[in-house]
Amino acid sequence: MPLLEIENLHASIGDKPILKGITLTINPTEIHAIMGPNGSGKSTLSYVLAGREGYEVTDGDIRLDGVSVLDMEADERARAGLFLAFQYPVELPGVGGMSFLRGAVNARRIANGEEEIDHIAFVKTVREAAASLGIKDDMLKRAVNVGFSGGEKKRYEILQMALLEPRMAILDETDSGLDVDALRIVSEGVNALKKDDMGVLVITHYQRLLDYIIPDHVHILADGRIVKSGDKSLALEVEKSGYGDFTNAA
Amino acid sequence: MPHESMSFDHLSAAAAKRHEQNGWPGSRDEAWRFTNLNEIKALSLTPAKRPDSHAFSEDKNLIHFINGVAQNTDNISINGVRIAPLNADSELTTALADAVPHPHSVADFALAHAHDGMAMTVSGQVDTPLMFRFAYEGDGISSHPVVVVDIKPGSSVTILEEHLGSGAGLSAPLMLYRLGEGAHLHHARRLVEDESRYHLGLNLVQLNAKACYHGDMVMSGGAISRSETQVRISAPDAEAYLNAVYLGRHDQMRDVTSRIDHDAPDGQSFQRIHGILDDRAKAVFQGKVKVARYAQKTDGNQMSRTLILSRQAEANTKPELEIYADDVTCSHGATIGEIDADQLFYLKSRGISDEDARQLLIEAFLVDVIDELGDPQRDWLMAAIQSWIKVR
Repeated sequence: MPLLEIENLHASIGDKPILKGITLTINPTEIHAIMGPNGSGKSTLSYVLAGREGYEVTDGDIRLDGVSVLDMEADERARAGLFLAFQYPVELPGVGGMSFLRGAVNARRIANGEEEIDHIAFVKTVREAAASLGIKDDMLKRAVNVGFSGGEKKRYEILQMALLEPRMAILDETDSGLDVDALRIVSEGVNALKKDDMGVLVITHYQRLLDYIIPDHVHILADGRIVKSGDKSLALEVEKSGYGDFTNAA
Repeated sequence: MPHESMSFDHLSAAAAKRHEQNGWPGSRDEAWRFTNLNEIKALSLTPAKRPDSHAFSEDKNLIHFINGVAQNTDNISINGVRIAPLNADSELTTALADAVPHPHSVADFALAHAHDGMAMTVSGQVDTPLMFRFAYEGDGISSHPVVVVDIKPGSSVTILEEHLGSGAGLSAPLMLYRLGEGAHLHHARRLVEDESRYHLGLNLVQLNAKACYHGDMVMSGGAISRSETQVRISAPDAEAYLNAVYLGRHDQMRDVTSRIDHDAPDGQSFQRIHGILDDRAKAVFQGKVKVARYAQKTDGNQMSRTLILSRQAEANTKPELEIYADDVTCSHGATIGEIDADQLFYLKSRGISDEDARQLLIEAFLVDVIDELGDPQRDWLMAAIQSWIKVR
């Protein structure tokens, strides 16, 4: 069964249509990349998939493991296995990192009928996962994202992904704000997680990230529609000639 | 002008006269513009009688007040702490007479009806925290605890002050904390009376040179609760920290009023007020900082933030800076807003339910104010916050 099915998806912000009929199927273990210029609807797509309020789906459907998620709020979708790595992770002053991570993991476990995670075992798991992503211990003690650099925030997103073990991960411009070293570490983190049957949707403006996270399929988004799909060579084509040809086609 | 030696009865009689003349303020009185006292006036209050003496546990550091009257002062045995009826301490009675602004409707009301007050003197480093527990009861009863705490030069103490109880009555506490040169007071307060009650309190603080006052309050109880704090910095290098959290729901009213008089150079005052309002609750924070002409190098900061959980709730802030010195740093700021939609979405996108996410953000907003406090104040105040949040 397909993991994520996006079918003829139309979405608006207020009266303004942004997504104008997107159809895309992602199977387990597949990595898809959506590339597109600014204003093409990339971030809207990630928010609509994650269930952010203020975005209205006017037509079409989104199914995860065959079940429509349109009537689910963001938290239900997350507990069903959807994960969004934010382009701009949000600072939460006063919310301690460890209790945030534990709250997120336990919410998923309780929804799955599992026991809450053992406190001490969890701290150990977090430390190990953090170390492999180059996240320092003292960052884990701080409030969520507060005082983190741009690169640290992105690593922290991947740490959350590692702990939550999603079915389907959406990476929204995860490469922005990362230097090459950080890009490598983050990509290794994503690739390491891919060992199971997780699906990945990488949303990006630049081809750069796709050198590290190699996609099975690449789609070009322009003016709210997928105007071309292909394999990873399509990303290189964009790198060379820009988005001009595609935006004209839309 | 300082009074010559004054008896409590004399002080009380003068206050009664003023209250008879002035009565309770109306909405045209600037200091009471947001806090309507009609409900309280309608209670037709009778002053509490002196209660029969109660039997209490033998706590050595906990003073019980029943409807305003201290019960077990004989039990208290802590090195460096001396307790006496205010009536028997003419020095502190005179100090109170000098400290009380007049006319002042709350102070005059409290003094007019109080049977007596409690005088406490603290000398040396007192390591055991002292606790004042003010319990109120009875419909239509007004209670008027009057307490003067004199902290001798170089001494330090932690005082936990709690107001609780039930019955449609009024609590009108009048407190004076006098800090000698270099003295330290950590003063934590929980105002957690039942929703049936009314609370109008005046908390006076006097700071001598290099004295340091830390006042931290959680106000979550009462139909109408007003806490006014007046700090007078009368000698150089003194510091005052006023942190307050107010929590309101249903049709409750919360009023946090402060006035800081910088009457000496090199003083510092920092105020942080965080409030949460739900349903149709209303609140006002009015904070005045007055810097006298000779109070150079004063540092005065004031920040008020309110989180509104309902469109019907109403928050008002009224900062007032009155500065006559030319070499000072003074600032104030105020924000009023709803729960941040980005933060809420971020938490929910991690699988945390809407309700839990909101609770986390509310707690985070409040924890900010008391997180840096030492123990036992931190946990003691946090417990009051958490019990309010849990009812949501």
